[in-house]
Amino acid sequence: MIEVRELTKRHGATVAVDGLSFQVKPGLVTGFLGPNGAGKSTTMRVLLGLDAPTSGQALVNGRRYATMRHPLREVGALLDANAVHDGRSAYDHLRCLARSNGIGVSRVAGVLERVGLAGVARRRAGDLSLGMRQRLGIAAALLGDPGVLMFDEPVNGLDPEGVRWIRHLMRSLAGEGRTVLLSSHLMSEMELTADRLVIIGRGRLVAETTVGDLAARHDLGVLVRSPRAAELTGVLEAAGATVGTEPGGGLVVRGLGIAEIGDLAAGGGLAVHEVTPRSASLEEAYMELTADSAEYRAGGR
Amino acid sequence: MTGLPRHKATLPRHEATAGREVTAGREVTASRLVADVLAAEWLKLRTVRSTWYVLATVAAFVVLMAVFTLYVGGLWDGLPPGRRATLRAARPEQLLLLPVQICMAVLGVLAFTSEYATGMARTAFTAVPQRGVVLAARAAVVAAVAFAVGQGSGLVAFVACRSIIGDRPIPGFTEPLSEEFPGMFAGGLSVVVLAMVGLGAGAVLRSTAGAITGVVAYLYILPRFVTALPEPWNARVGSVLLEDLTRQAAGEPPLAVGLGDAPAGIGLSPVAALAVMALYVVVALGAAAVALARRDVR
Repeated sequence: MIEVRELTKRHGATVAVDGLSFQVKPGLVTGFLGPNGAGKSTTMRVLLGLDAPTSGQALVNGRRYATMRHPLREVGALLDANAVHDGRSAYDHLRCLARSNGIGVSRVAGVLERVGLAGVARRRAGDLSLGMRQRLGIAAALLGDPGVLMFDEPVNGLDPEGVRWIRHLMRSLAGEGRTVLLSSHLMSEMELTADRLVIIGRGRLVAETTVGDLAARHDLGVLVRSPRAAELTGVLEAAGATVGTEPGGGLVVRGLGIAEIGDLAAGGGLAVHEVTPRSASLEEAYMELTADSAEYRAGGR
Repeated sequence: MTGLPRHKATLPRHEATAGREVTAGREVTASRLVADVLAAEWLKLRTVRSTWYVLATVAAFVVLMAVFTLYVGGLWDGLPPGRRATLRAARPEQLLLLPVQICMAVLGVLAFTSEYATGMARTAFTAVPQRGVVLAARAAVVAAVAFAVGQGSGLVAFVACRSIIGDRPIPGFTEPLSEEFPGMFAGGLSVVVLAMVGLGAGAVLRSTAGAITGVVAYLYILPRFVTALPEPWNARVGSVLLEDLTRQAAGEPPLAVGLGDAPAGIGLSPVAALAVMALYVVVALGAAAVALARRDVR
């Protein structure tokens, strides 16, 4: 369980996170989405006690991370695959982390096996590819068998096989009843992995929703073409629909299903030439939600 | 708004969940935490190459002292007996002190800066969010190594050089260990002080180059300016710098007084000199503690 309450983090004059509140529940993969610079990493850094919040709270299992002894047994996190000492071997890196949290060394071999790094365990971290270091970071997150997991852009640098592996891993971790928070700036990634979505922009909450709801809410209506558009508009509006027009001369009908539109047209003796549902892709829905913050960034910086 | 949690059904009967509740519920005592972090820091120090490079450098300087002593012995043998009494040579243990100080200062600096430079600091402080405990454990481990290296290298150099010189009566190579020991022990302590100053500077500056430059400037450059001060300030200021503190801790006067560049009587007692050395450590680690507590981890 992760709880962020009215969290604000300022770096000088810049506001990275601005009054953000959301919850992440166990047993689900929660996607943490936002354009680059939206405040995802900062939020995670505050959750992990690396950054002190300017105001507000960030709690894991009801507690501040900084108060936890042996936190790796409760929370596993991958913030940045490069956050390892280049000169230490993968095995030694994990052994040091395990020792600091009272975790037995036998666990190290186990997680190396699970992430597929057993063969390169003795190689220096600096000699590992980005994809391998990503796996090493995931191994570190899994080291203490924690109930809460956070991953910041974990698919960066992974090949397609690795991306599939991550998706499967996230799903199985959530399936085991763990709390999984997974950040990304790509909706397409979340569509395949996440159950719930926390979408932020400019440090503020844009939406806290599910993948299904987001798609439904951004239903773009039904495109209807008719030689007698004006009369049809009257009939549809009388039935409670909102009707707009699109540049090609068609009608965009919201609030009525395809069957109802067809029946109403037939009932009024009005010919229709096209009836097409227009549902947006999640990617489009996400772009629309975060357009403000993205534009602000592009123009303002 | 809320969707159906797809996996909720599997939650209660999963082994992993039940096991985790047990581990999450157990108490970790403060002493257990400190013991674990100490063990981890000791392991971290041993598992990076830089530590072994620094120790190899110390060993190389010890060998160099033996070579130097062989040269001094050869020089003595080559002199006609009448001129042998005029031979003067620096004591190897004293020559060795500066490189050992630098090496251990570098070890102290790297304890923090190598983690900031590689990003390991974020992982390390995520594993142990009690930053003060990390600082204390890291300082303890580095201090222990610096103490062992400082005393050990001096002792090895002493024994090796004495056995090379044998019974040749060269001044500086004949005094018994009991006479040399206070100076050697104080020199070994100064190595620990520098390691802690390096560690503190590394934690505050977070930059290897910056911290090493600072320590070397303090050790080499500042004393040159202090020497140029008018007396008695050369001895007064010098007496609180590490080189003179080491001499005073062993019961010797500050260098300027010893050379006759400053009036006799200026200087600190051995106890006061040791107290000032301890103060260096307290200030360095205190600054590090404040910096770690106040700043976000980079």
